[in-house]
Order: sequence, then structure tokens, then C-alpha cells
Amino acid sequence: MLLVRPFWWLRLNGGLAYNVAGFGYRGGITLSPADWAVSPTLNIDAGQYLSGDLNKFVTVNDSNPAFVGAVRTLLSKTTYKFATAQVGLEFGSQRRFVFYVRGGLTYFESSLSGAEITAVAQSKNPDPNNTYNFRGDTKFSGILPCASLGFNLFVY
Amino acid sequence: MRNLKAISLLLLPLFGCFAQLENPDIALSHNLCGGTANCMPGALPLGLMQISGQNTFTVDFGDQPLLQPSTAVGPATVNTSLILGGAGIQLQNAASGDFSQVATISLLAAPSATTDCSATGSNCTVLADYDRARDGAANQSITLRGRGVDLITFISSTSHSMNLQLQASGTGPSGAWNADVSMDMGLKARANFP
Repeated sequence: MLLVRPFWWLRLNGGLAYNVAGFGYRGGITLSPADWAVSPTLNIDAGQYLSGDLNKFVTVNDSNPAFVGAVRTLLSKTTYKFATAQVGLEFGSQRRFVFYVRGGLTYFESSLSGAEITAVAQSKNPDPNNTYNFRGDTKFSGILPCASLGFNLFVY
Repeated sequence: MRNLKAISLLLLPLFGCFAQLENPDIALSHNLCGGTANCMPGALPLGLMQISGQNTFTVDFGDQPLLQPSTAVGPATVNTSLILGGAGIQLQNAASGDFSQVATISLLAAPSATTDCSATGSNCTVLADYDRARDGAANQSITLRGRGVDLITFISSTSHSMNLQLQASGTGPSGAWNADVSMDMGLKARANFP
């Protein structure tokens, strides 16, 4: 993650994002209106994960192998966009090194393939005379609390 | 006291937290006769449309995740709605004729398999309907206008199915026929936190 400070109170950051399940990119701004040993900050970030396989973390238990297979296929492509607003405190020198604690809210939005959701629903369909069709993608979204810990090392 | 107010203020945004799954365009199609056979007699004056001798036909949605009014997931409760936007009846075989002599047709949710929804006090709910005077003459298919009913309350939480009935007026296709009944639905499942 690269960070630049066009003004002492404004920082811009951007770079690669990694969430254990996959990779993406992210960027953000931080307002830090004080240069104290403990400084308050306001942080806005946004990004997108372009890959992600949740099967690393989720085990699907069901007696129906078609359902398990369909859900695993769905979970293997977990991509999403996000935007985060956080307030935080930074401890240390704004000229050299700070450790930060932040908390706030994050909005996420993911699009699940209509064909793959159809396969999940169809696998649970007991009647051969029924046919499911999820014509468009299914939107999965939400606003959740978030927190972050980290540090910044200022080299210039 | 001041600290309590400050903490409350900081926690206030958390009460707007949610996670939501939505798809406005889901179709579930059901074959009336259960195969390629034509179980519906031809040139029949329409009323209560019996399917294979039964007043209702059953659509089994299957044991799908989230297909119940509310589901507990950890500390949150997921509330689900499944709104019927419209329905359709598609004739399976053109040789059976067409639906041009059908004057009206309604798709109803029936409380039991033996209910006749035309009877007074039958407690049926109209889900979607077609009126030739309003919608124009039908041919191989009939499009029924939805009434915006939430189907989730009609789906049994144990059998995962619902009883549906067709009530019509006019005359059916000239030859024996079979059709697919489709329902166009919008799904929304939302969990609010905390």
C-alpha cells in the first residue's frame, strides 16, 4: 500500500488488497487534522476484490451432493466491492511512525451469478416438473461494523 | 453520564447495520400434467380447472435456504419476502389449439387441496389474474398480472409446498392439452443487526 501526503492533514493511499480468500485493489483518503502524540483521524476507503474462494473457510454439510457441489461452485467466485468510513486514533509521530486503531462501518456489494444460484435452487428441487430460473444476478449487500489496526511508516 | 451518552452516540450507527440478498427476477415453472401427456380435456367450458381430478395442484419449492418468513442466523433474524410479480400459462403443444376462447383466469393460493375457491368463504387468495377484455386475447400463452402477494406466507414450512388453483371462464383449447404454469417472483432476504 502506497501513501502520499499532499498536505500535512491529508493523506491519499492506494494499492493491492488481500483478504486471505483473494486479491483486489483499494484506495482511500485520511484526514488527520491534528499533529499530536494521539491524533484523531477520519478515513474513507473503497475497493474491489476481483478473486476469492470462500471454500477455504466454509464447509458445506448436506446429504445432497448436488447441493454441496452447487454451493461450492458459488463460493469459489466470491468477489465484491466495498466502501468503508472509519474514525480512529493514531499513536506516535506524524512525521515518522504511527500505530492506528480505527472503527466504523463498511458497505459491501457482491453479485452472485444467476446460473449458479439457479443450480443451487434446482439441486434442492424435489419435483421433476418444476424448473427454477434466476434470470438475473442476485445482489448480496450490507452495512456492517468494521475495525482495523495497523501502522504507517513515513519515509518522506 | 456524559460517557454513556458519548458511547451511545458512537454505537448508534450500528443499529443501521444489515445484510441483504435480493433478486427481482426469479421464475419457477411447473408442468401441470407432470410430463408430456395431455391431462386437460379439450373444448371444456372453464370454471374450476381440475388437474388430474384434483381441485388444486401443488408446487413444491423444495427445502431451500431462506424460504420461510423468518430464519435465525446467529444473533440475527433473516426476514424473507417472495413477491409474485406475475404468472404465465404456456401451452405445451400447439396442436392442442390455443387459449383464445379463455375470457378470464385467476391463479389462487388455496388453503387445502380440496378447497373450491369459487365457494363463499373459501379463504383463497388471488395471486394473479388475466382478463381478456383488459389484457387482450391470448394465444399459445396467457400472461397473468400479479397482485404483489408475498408467497412466503403460503409456503408450508414443513412440506415446502403450496396449493394453487386455477379458476377460469370461457372455453379451453379445442384439443386435450397440457401447460407449464410459471410464477415470476422477487426475492428479498434481509437480516438486521444487532
